[in-house]
Amino acid sequence: MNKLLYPIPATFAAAAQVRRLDYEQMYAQSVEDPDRFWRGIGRRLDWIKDFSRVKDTSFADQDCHVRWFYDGKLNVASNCLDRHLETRGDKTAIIWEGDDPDVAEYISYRELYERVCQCANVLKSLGVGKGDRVTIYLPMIPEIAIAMLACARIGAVHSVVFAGFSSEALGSRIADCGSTILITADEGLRGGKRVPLKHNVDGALSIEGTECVKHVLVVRRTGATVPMYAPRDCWYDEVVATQAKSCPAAVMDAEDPLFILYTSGSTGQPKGVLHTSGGYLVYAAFTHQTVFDLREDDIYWATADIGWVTGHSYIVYGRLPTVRRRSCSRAFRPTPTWVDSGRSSTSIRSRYCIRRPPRFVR
Amino acid sequence: MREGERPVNAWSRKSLRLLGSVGEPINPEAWEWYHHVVGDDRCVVLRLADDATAVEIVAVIESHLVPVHARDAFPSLFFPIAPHRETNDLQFPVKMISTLTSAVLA
Repeated sequence: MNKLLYPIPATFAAAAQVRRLDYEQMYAQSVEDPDRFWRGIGRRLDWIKDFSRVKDTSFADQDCHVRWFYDGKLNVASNCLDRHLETRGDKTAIIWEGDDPDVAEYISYRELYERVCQCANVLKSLGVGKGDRVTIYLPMIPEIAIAMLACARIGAVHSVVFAGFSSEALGSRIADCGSTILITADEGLRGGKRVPLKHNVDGALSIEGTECVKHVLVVRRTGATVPMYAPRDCWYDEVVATQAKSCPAAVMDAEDPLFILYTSGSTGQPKGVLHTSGGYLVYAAFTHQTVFDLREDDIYWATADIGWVTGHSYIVYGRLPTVRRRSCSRAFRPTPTWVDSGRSSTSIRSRYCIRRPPRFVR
Repeated sequence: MREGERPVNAWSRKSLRLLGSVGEPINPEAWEWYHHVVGDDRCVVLRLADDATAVEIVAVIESHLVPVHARDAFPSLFFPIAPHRETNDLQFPVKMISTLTSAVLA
């Protein structure tokens, strides 16, 4: 084992949000009085109805259950968006850089809120309600985060399927969770190569068991000509354009489902793992702030794909809720973009974030 | 690493404060390169353990908590988990994590 240690720079340590003393105090409390510890952490979120119970977990063979903050009510999307509108509505929430680094988009909290609401209104107009499943098969474009947050806003359960997966993998995941809506794009772009997403979708929906899908929303990414089957298929930009830019946030129980994410299937049949609202968001936000030492105005660059759990937690959900207390981190912009060796600019751009992984990192 | 330092050095990295890596553990050689070349010996390198961000748990349970833990290629355990590291018993600590999966679809 490599025993070489590098000291943390004194300036970094002095400015970090969780200093040694805080950590030791917090740590001691987390062990000695975990209910009190997690009660405090749980209060970082905006609760529509505050929780009084912290947790109820049992791992007994005949009675296995996990419930956190379970008498509280909240909306995950409100925690990610609405709470910022008054104080930082015009600040950038997401910097997106396309496959071509000259294509970028800066999305403010207000614009993100409006686009999420429009998408949520589309879903509602198609009959989607609390607990209904929506499969998202999108490349790394802003609409993937927008679609996830739109589901959260109305209490629908999203199942993001990595946009590199085949028709068969997509179809089996759709059939397993019984999605009624599928959101995809005409094509993806990855390292200059086109990925035939709509073509893959058409293949997936010919698989037995996928008849549950009533509508397919197609984002125009490359503008490729793809077959559209009416009345099932709709262009995303056409259906969102007419929707209102506000949408009431559904009041959700802390233990209502937020998303399903399938395991990769490398150890057998993919399993749909279900995560719920309150405990998930508390922990994702808490760890994102403390472990990454994130603070207001930091630009956080994520190279992961939202299709994996790291992307769910540390691109979309962990970063957007903020704490209200003084001296804690608040909104985080996504990341400075790094350009890989094939590109020719001369500084790290102050943009960010949702983009393909640079080749040299892993 | 394969393409040398030039692609990295072509860019100013002054704005970087912290670097991270997630997934399979990177080997010491890659870690040193990430720290010295990409991070200019200046950035804190955060390591999120692969098993800790697995789908079932969904968020970090094992990482450096800067600045508490010294930097090296091996992460430390996050909050209520640490006492159990010596016994290598992750079962109890995982119960303490609010993001633990609620169900597996049957």
